[in-house]
Amino acid sequence: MITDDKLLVEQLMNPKTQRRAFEQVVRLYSEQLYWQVRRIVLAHEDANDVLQNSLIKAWQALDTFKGDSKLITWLSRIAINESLDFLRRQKNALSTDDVDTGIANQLMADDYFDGDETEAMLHEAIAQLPDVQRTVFELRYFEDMKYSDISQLLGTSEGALKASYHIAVKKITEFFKARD
Amino acid sequence: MTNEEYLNQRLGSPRNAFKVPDGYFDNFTQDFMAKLPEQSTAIRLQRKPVVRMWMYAAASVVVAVFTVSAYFLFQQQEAPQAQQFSEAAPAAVYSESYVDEAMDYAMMDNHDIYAALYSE
Repeated sequence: MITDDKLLVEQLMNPKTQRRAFEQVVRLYSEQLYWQVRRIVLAHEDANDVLQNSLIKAWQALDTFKGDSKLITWLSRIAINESLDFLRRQKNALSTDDVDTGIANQLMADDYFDGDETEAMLHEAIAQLPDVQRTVFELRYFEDMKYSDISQLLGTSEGALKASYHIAVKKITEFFKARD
Repeated sequence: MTNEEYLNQRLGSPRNAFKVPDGYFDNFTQDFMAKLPEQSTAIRLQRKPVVRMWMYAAASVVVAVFTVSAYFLFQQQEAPQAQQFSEAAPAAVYSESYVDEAMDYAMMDNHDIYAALYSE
C-alpha cells in the first residue's frame, strides 16, 4: 500500500501505475472529502453525487496537479468548489428563502441526521453565511483545520481567514440569540 | 462573554451529527473505481505531443510544397503580363483582337490584305 504522499503523486503521474494509485487516493481520502462535502450540501444523496463528480474531475485533471500543495489540499479544493457550485445551482432552481431557511426542519426529518434541534439550527445558521465564511467556519470548527492549511486550500491569507471566521462566529451567535 | 464562549456554551463540543447508510464507505472505493473511465485526460495529453509533432511536420511539408508551386505558377503567369505592360505597343500589334479591331476601323477584309501584300 502506498502511503507516502510524494510516492503516491509519482505513481499518479505514471500512466502504467496511475489507475492503481488513484484507487489508493480514493481509499485514503474519500471519507474525509465526503464529510467536507456533506456539511455543505447536507443531504447524503447529494453528497454522494458531488463526491463522485469531484473525484472524476480530479482523475481528469491529474496533469494539472503540480505537487506544490498536499494531495488532500488539492482534492479538498475541488470537492469544496463542486459543493458550492451544487448549492448555487440548487438556489437558482428554487428561491433563496426555500433553500436557506427551513433547513433545521429538513434535517430533523432526515433519516441520516443524528443531531438534536440545536445542531440542526447550527447548520441552518451556517447555510446562511456567504461561501467563504461558511467554508472557513466549517473547516475550522468541525475539522479543527489549521489556518495555514485553510489558506493553502482557499488561496486566501491567514489574516483574512481569521477575520472571516470571527465574522462567521458573530453571525451564528446573533442567529441563536435571536431565537433564544 | 465572547461570541466563541457563547457558542461553546450553547453548542457544546463540535460533533458530526450526520450519518451514512450502512457499509457506505466500505463499498465506496470499489463501486466508484468500477465506474471510473479507463484512461484519464492526463494520459491522453501525454500522447498528444508526439502526434502533434508529426502533424506539424506534415503541415510544414504541405505548406512548403504549396508555397513553391504558387511561386512558380505566379512567375509563369507574370511573364506574359510583364511583356504586355512593359512593351505595350508591340504586344498589342501581335494580338489578334487588335488586328481585328484595326481592320474593322479601316473597313478592310482579308482579301484586301492579301492583295496589298502580294502587290509589293
